[in-house]
Amino acid sequence: MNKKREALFQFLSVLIAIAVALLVTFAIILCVSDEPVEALKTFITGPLSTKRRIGNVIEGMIPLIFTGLAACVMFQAKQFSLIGDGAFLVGALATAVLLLKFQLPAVPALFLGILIGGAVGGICAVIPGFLKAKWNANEFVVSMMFNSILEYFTVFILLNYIRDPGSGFVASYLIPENVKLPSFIAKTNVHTGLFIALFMVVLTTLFMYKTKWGYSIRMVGKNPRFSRYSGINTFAVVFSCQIIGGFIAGLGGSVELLGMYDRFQWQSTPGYGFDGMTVAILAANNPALVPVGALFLAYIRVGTDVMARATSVPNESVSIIQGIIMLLITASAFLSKTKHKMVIRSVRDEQKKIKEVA
Amino acid sequence: MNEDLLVMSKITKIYPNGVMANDKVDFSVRTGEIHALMGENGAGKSTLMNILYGEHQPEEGDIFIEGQKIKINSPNDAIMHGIGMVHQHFMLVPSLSVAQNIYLGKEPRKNGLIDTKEMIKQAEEIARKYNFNILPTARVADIPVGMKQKVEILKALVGGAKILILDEPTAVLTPQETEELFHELKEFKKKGHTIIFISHKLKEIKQICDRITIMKNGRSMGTYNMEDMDEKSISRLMVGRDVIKSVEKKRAKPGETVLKVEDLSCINEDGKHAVNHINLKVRRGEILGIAGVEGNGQSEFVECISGIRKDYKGRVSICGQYVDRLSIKKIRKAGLSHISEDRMSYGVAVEASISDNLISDKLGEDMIGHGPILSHKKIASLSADLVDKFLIKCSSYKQPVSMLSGGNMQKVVVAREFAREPAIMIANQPSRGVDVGATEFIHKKLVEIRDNGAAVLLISADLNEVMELSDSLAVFYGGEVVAYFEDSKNVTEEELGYYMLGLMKQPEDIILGLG
Ligand SMILES: Nc1ncnc2c1ncn2[C@@H]1O[C@H](COP(=O)(O)OP(=O)(O)OP(=O)(O)O)[C@@H](O)[C@H]1O
Ligand SMILES: [Mg+2]
Repeated sequence: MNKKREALFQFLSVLIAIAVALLVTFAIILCVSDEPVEALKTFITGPLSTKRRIGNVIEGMIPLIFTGLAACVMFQAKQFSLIGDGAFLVGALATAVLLLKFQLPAVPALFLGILIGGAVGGICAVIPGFLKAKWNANEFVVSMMFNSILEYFTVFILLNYIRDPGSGFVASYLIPENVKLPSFIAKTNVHTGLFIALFMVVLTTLFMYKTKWGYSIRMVGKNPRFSRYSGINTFAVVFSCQIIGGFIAGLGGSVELLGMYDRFQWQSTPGYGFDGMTVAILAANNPALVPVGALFLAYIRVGTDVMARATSVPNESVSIIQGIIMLLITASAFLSKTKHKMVIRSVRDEQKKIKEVA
Repeated sequence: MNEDLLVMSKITKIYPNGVMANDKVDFSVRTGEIHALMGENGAGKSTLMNILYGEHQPEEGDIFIEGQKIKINSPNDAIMHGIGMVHQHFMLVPSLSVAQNIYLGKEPRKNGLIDTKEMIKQAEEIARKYNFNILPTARVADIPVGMKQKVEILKALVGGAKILILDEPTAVLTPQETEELFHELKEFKKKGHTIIFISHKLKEIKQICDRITIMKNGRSMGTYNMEDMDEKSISRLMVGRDVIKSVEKKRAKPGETVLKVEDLSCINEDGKHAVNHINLKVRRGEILGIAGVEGNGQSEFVECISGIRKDYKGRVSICGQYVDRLSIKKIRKAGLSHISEDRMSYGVAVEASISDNLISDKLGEDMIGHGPILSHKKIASLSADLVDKFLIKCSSYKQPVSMLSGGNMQKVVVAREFAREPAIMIANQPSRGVDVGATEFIHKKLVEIRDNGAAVLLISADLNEVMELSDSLAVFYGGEVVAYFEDSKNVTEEELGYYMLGLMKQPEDIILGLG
């Protein structure tokens, strides 16, 4: 089968998956709503109905892109680490501390602030990464436990070092206005962090597919024994891919803080690490496709939000809808029969052509 | 009498990537015969057998057993129809023990629970019956390929099949083990069972098969009685030309020592001394062959010198540089190439593309891009070149290795290891599973790098291969070198056999000539 047909097929199968998921969603809405058609309509078209909502979708994409990329890098090496979640939180915290404790001129402050978020995010991954690489301690379990340590650590720092007693809720002092990432579309919060996110998409894609280190990460994920036998340092790969993941997620935390908030106010993780894993799965672990996965997830988030506000469908239904769509898209056997028929037809066609020529 | 038991008629199989692996193949076997299936790598033998075993569905064609048309949708259906199969690439559960794998799904029970003790006892018994040396309690992930093959065979034998498919069962067996297996297969046949036997070794086929079907490029070239066929006619049908069996080679002119092993010892997973105080050296321009029954320390020995195993005593040097405490990357940099005996665990990453598999040992080198950057242009031309030179049958080097036939996967491993000009080549079962034509080619390459000044250490379960290619020979028994022949011409196969079985041992001073 030629490349074009392959791509067309891929695209169609995703579309069909979405259509089927929407049908099931509709059935669910039918059960819980008095006005199902109206509800489904707001769900689908709601995010596009006003400029502000379109803005909400794009804003929502930004952190998902970062944590999605982080998950891609780790998944490619078959490291199922949750450290992205903790790194995102602590990355933002580090930025807040730096900006509140040190008076720096605007440009270096912005630059350093984001960088330190990434660096601290990377440091978060050192312990789970090392334990995995050295002693094969399950990275999933270790990172999950480590995340709760990071959460309490964040609360501790927030309450004891940067809390603004004058604020009506638990939050840090105000972050200086001049180091924030400005929004560039009027009447929305779409901020310049979007460009940093897209830049990271390009960088990560180049890293994974155009460098020897990225190649090593991919090979270790495919067969660690083969990699070791070939002379790849599997310890370094397993260790470093988690640190890179932590770094990207940490960057994401900083960018989110500087783009969307006036103060640091998270007392528990905002959960973007987990969402990043969802995005990575949607993108088939390909960093270049992460923005698409992030857009999709952000879109249905805003969609359900709008629907919940306009109709009687509860916001929790978003989880169900999300689950169904994911299930359908990731099920690899989905439509494989149809695809096989297409293949056979094209082989037959080719044979016929060859015979005609002969 | 000459009733066809099983008929496969006009079988066509097209893989999802558009490769037509079987093209209207007719194939039939009779009750109580051993039927050979031969053909070059990628001819479509495994595909045809996987269809019979229900693992693939054909696009066209029918299967009949005893005249009844049947449909085989899954291996379960196949087993119900009395079909058993030994796969070319083993279908074992790596995390389970050997005994658990053999009795998977038919575990002996006591009070409704699995009787583990009884299972291990039965496994030991059946292994003894077939004279197979296995460790029933070892985890399959930890055992060498030779043992995995035996587990796979035992598993099929205890299944009680009426028609038994053996897809290259002898590729990793020693001649002695092969004899035992053949003895068993003949017994099997006497009881009225039918066997389909795939192998690239003509000698074996001539020895036990009644009829032969030859495949080429996905088509059947016909079925013949074994007595009507000789090597020439078979290879002509298979390859379309005569294959020269023995490689021409000049007398070796050994130079300085390249690989030197001093007093190497190691203990393997079950606590035995797998390698026991071995001294050995291989010189430039020489092929040193290692003969021995598999499981006498060869695998562990190779794992030590290639750096896969680290917990050993003794020293290893390459061109005068000690490499025993170095990483595999550095050992390879010192000039070592290593064709692994276990291609599915070490040799390839099946999900990765052919070109990804060809460059994995070259990351430190400019031939795939300067510094940390990969040059896709360089990789493409390198891959195209190697695919071409090593006759890897594929539609493109971007294809994943999982889409290749077994022999073509082996060619990928061989091509990669030959691509960098090594100072020392460790060829562990280099021609395992490849057809006669490709074997000839690999042998030629080994001799060629020898003539260009490389040292070659050849380990093979195939005694013919070792005798034919080696300049000098060492025999392994019980983890020790029991014999060394400076010139391999000075030893007969029979004599070697005595040393290999541990019946004879040379005096120390001769063996020390090796160190
Ligand atoms: N899963 C697969 N997907 C696509 N193509 C495949 C797949 N498996 C095999 N092929 C292709 O089908 C052809 C026949 O392969 P098959 O494994 O049947 O060969 P074979 O005769 O068993 O060879 P060998 O002696 O090397 O084992 C080959 O060209 C191979 O590349
Ligand atoms: Mg095969």
